[in-house]
Amino acid sequence: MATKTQGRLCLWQLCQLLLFSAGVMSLDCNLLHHQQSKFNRYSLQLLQKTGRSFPLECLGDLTAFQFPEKVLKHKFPQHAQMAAHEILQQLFGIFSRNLLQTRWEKGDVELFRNGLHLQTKHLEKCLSTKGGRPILRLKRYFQRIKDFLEKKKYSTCAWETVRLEAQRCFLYMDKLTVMMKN
Amino acid sequence: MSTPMYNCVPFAFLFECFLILATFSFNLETSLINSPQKLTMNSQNFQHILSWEAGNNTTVPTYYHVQYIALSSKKEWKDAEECSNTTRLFCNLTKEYDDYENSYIALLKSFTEHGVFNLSSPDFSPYRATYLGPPIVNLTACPGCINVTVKLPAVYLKEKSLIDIYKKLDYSTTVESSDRKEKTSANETSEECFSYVIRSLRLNTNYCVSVAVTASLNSHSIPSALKCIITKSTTRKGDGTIPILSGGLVSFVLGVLLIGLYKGGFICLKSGPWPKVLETTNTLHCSVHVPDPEIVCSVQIIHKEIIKKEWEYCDDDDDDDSGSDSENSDEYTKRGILGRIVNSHAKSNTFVQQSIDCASAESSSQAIKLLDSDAENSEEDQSVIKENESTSKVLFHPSSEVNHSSTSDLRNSACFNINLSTVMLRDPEKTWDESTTLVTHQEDEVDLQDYCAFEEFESKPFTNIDYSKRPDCHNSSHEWQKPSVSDESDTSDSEYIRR
Repeated sequence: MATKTQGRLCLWQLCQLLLFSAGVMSLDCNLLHHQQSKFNRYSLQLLQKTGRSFPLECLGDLTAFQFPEKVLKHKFPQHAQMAAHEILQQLFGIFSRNLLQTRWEKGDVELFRNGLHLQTKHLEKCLSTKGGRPILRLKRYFQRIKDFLEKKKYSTCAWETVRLEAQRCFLYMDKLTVMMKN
Repeated sequence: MSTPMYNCVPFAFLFECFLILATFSFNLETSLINSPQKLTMNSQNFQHILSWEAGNNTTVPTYYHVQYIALSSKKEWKDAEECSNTTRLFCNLTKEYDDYENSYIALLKSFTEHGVFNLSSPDFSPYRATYLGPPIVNLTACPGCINVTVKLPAVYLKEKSLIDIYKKLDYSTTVESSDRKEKTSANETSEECFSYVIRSLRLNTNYCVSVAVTASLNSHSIPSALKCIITKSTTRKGDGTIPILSGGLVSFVLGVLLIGLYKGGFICLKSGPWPKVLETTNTLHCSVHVPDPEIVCSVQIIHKEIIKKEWEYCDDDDDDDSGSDSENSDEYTKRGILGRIVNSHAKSNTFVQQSIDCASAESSSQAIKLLDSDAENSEEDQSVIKENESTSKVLFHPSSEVNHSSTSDLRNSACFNINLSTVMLRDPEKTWDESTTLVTHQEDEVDLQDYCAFEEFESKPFTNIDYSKRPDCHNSSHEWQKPSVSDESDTSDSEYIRR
């Protein structure tokens, strides 16, 4: 008799576990856009705080990198999620490069990079598919930034230009986050 | 030793003079240039105003020139309109910063007769830096709650609103009362005008409300001014009494209705069976078979040939009276005989001469018709009473039970009750053995009733006696019971004797 009741309890607990886990997992991705919105705000503040005002002497290095705005016109949440994931991943890659010539606070930069990494992983959990044409466009865009940095030899002004562009990226991220919400 | 002292003193004096001159010159220079200070950008709802403070030397005339540049690929400094060669200490750059997603740097140039001094502002992104609000707030009180209506402020951009720019805004509410302060956040809106209700407040208490609006990437906001309102007390007093009164009225009306129905006999509380006595109520009334009041006529029947035959009958039955028959016969001829149905053989030539002194003479003719019709229909069981014209009707009170007393009231009525079962019919040519009793059918009784039919009755078939009329049985029974009950066998004799 005791074994039967124990068996029944185990089965019931298993059922509960499955149900709750399903709920928990779905909840995580349902609140993704809220969490992403918070991340965007925090990261942008960090980025603004890291450098001070844009130096006037670097005005000559200003370059139009031409962000692919077609990405923002895809209205499917999955596409927006994929685009956001790609942007964060690329930014992480860029800001992991040679920052020696910058006068930025290292602590702030580290925080910024860690946040990027975590959010990238978070988005990966909720993504079902990867790739697609908008991703290619984004890849080309970030390649242009990387090429610019290399060309300018990671100078202070180059980094300031890149920082300015990264701030603009977060504006696009904010729009993508709104699209991520069904 | 004294000589080094002489060398130090002039050197120190010179150095001191140099310092003083340097300080003075520097001050002079700055005062001459009159550099502006505290360059600040005040931006509210995308209205950007760059302001500064004048230099120390206010006496020196200074002209200001503002330029701006958008941090994009176009590396061109542009001149701000209305801010060229101005002595004002501010410049409106709303129109100049038209691309709200871009960043701009403003450059202030101050001109004096001595030179130009440049001062640049930090890079400014309207999207991220402008202050949002204050929203327009309207409050309405309700019991224990406040209804808040918020309208977003207008934006100093062409054909744009805050929702157009940010798509989605967050708003937070600050509720202050006399003892505590509470702020609620994490609310979203995507409408220019929206409303919501602050609940769980105390009744009849003064609360002050302030609303602030922020965006996801722009946390700069100006909250609305505190607006105060007193929450309402409980709902109207009349709200509870009206349903109670209406319920009471409805129940009262229902009660009156039920009582009325009960009194009227439509509702019976007792569900038992009717007493047996009551069950026969319907039949009791008309078990007597009393017809409607009839016009009783006194009829004189003059028997002629009948007499003889009857006497013959009587001789057979009653030997005692045989002797007096002849005498009586003479009496009978003299006196009128009360009408009595005589059911004799159809072939007998009996006829009854009757005189009627009824009020309704018309009815007699009609009765005659009935009699005639009956005579046609009937055969041996029915007597044919005919005369030339003055055949009259014989009244009968049909009843099988009261046949004894049916001969009542011989003085007033001419109706007799004869138990037909005792009447014997005989053909004078035949013997008594072959005589037959009157068939006491219901039909006969019905036929008897036909004879008694008057105006009121003639149109109705007797089989369909209307029992509902419930003739007054009491009066009729009195008529019945008045005479003494006599034997059936003596009825015929008694009648004759009385007459």
